[in-house]
Amino acid sequence: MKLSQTAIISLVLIIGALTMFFYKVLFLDFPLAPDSRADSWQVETRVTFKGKGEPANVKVNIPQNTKDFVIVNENFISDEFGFSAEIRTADNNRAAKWSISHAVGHQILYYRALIFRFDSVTFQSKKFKVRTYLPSEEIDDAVTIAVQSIIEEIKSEDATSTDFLLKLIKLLKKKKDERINLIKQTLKDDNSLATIEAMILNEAKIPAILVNGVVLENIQRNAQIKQWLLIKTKENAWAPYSADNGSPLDTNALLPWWYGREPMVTMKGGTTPDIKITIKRNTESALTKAIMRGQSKSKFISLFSFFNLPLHDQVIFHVLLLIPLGALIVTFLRQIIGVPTIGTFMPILIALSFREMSLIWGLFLFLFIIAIGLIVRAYFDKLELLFVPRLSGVLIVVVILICVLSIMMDSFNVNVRLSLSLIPLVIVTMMIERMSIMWEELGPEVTVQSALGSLLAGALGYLCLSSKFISYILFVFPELLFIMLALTMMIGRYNGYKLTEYIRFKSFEKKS
Amino acid sequence: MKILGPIQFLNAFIRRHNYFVERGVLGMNSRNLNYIFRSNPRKLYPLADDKLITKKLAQKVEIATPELYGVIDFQTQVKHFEEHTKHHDTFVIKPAHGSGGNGILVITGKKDGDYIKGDGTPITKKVILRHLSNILSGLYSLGGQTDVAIIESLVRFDPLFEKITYMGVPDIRLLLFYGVPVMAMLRLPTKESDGKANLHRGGIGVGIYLENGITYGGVQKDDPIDHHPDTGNKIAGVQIPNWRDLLIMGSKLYDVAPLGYIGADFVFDRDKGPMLLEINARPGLAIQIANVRGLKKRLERVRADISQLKTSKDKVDYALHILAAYN
Repeated sequence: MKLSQTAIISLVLIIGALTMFFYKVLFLDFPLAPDSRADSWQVETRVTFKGKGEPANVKVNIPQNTKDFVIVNENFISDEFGFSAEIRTADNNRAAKWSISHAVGHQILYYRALIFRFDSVTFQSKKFKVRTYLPSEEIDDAVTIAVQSIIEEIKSEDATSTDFLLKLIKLLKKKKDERINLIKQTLKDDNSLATIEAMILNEAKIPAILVNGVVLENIQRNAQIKQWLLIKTKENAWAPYSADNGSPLDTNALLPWWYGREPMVTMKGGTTPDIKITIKRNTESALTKAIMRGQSKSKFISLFSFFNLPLHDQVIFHVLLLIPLGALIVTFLRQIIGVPTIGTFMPILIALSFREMSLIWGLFLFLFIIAIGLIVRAYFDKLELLFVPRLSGVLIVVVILICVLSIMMDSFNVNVRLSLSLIPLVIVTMMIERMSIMWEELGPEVTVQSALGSLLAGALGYLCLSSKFISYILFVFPELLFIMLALTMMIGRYNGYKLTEYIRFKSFEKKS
Repeated sequence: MKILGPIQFLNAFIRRHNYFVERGVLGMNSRNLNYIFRSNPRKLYPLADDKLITKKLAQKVEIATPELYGVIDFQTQVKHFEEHTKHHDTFVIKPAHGSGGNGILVITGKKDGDYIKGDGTPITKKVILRHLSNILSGLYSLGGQTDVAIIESLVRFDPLFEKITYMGVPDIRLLLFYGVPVMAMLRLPTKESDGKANLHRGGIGVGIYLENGITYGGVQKDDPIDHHPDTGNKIAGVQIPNWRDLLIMGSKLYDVAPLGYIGADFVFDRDKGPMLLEINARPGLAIQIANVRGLKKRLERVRADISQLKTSKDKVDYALHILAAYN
């Protein structure tokens, strides 16, 4: 059999889409269902302060992309502030900078991010820049001598970095040590245990980095910034250690935020800021991981993904991607099953408007409003109104009906989400008009059949469109659109009987 | 009704499918793909959709149509419609682009300045003006575009069908494929169909033996029927007069309107004989049910043999002798 052009194109589309699909599922581990537990977190930082009526300038350190943590999506929110993008601080950290010419009263700034962590955190190949923890201008000979003296005391030939750290912590915890007091005085406000440890380790030629970050738990309403040390254990191998007791830390539980001695927030022109960090494990996007992996493996895959879009646009695409599925369902119902519908794509529009109500109430309201609308339309027809004014009149009556229904239901305490948006409104009106014309031309029987067919198709479409799973699958695997296109093309060349025709022509069988 | 198990149901379904294939039942998808798309060029649709064009084409091949009294093109002409009808007691107003018998107003007489409608009820001139105005605004036209109204003579139908007709005018639908008559049916108005020969509305479709023009059983709303529900008379056994001439008339349409797959609707006038009412470029499938015969095998046979059939006479003889044998 010679393959037709339609068959060839359909086949190519299906093979291409399936290849992409299976590549993503098998090699990039795109999850096939939502809600699988994922290592991603939603992080929110809230900075509040009072303005002093003068120009204010706020710099907030924010997490950065590392090999292990990827920031998928971030937002900077403020009311009146000008946000001047992300900047690099002196210590090469990422920071967000807000400024305002006249800050008065209570001010709130938000930073929100979705952060994903790769399977097992390793600091293997990251090349950290070892920073000096003793700014040169603050160093005098006494401090240098004190530091060297401490190093001399705990240094031994065969000791490892960790041994050194343990001994150092033990020494630092002694209450009365002049050397330590001197060092603390020199470092002023920023004299945490971890800072001193980092400084002494580096002076002892043991590469160590001071890390500021949070401990990741499922939900933390008020997460505290903690400090720990990242110590180079082998060549290019860094491991986190507790600054309190020198024990190795569980790398999976830590989110590094910034490195070095910088404070989290630097502020000019305001009161001391109050910082609140909220962390929530994000259970919905196991796919984040897969997408990140895809980005590193293939530029093409990442190009064909909606995950690069802003969150707001993503929400729109969740709905937009469902429309082709609706079209496919309608095509199938009409061409293969033979369900009569009013207008070709009316059922899709009905399905979309059901999304905004519940199905049962949606059906009830549709039937009710259409029934009343048909009566009104018939009356307008009797008054011999012209086409467009008549349509507008019906639309107005539909709006009035919805208003009355909403108020009535509210006063009877029937709690129905009557969030009829504009689309269902116009759809109902169009449906009334189409039905009226059909009623005149083809009679009531065909009209009622078609109306019920449309509602059935709409309800069926709604069940598909409202499925979280389907919405997820289409969003993550948009290549499936090509399969839908191929299927509609194939249905377009289907010349077999519709299922309803087996009933329509049933008399053929009886007579024989 | 017997309730079938899933296996039995599937078996019954497959049996029915095989039977349909064997009988050559034509489905809607196949009609569109294999016949309408392939045989009816879209640019020729106006020849069938515009009744004025159809009328002119029919005259070219000397096919009778109802006499044209006048055409109303613009709303301003509406109030002067009586200029066209002043010499006629009976007339019909219809939209040029109407379909399925919609928008047709039949006037059977005048009385005291009022008009008498087809069903005997009197109507005022105002009602007619409104009807004309509605036609022009596109109320009855395909797709709702503005339209023109045709005023033409009323067909006084042959008493032949009187016993099996309730009001209205019965018509004969010929299904023609490249000018070859493939199947025919008689459509009878009923009370349910409001006097219209419209099968959607509950009119009766009656099968006609292609070889001799004699009716056999009929169907109403897809269900078999033997007697007219309103007159109680038997539907079968009516001989359509001058059957062969009627088929030749239908066949000749292809010479002026080269649409491959059409339905041509004829009425029988008491005095003037068969007249063409309209051509349909998307004829429905109900003709199969009325005849309890499938179209597909006949159509495929015609497609195979059409190159040898030159004249209308050839085509009609082919239909009478070869196609009629397909049951």
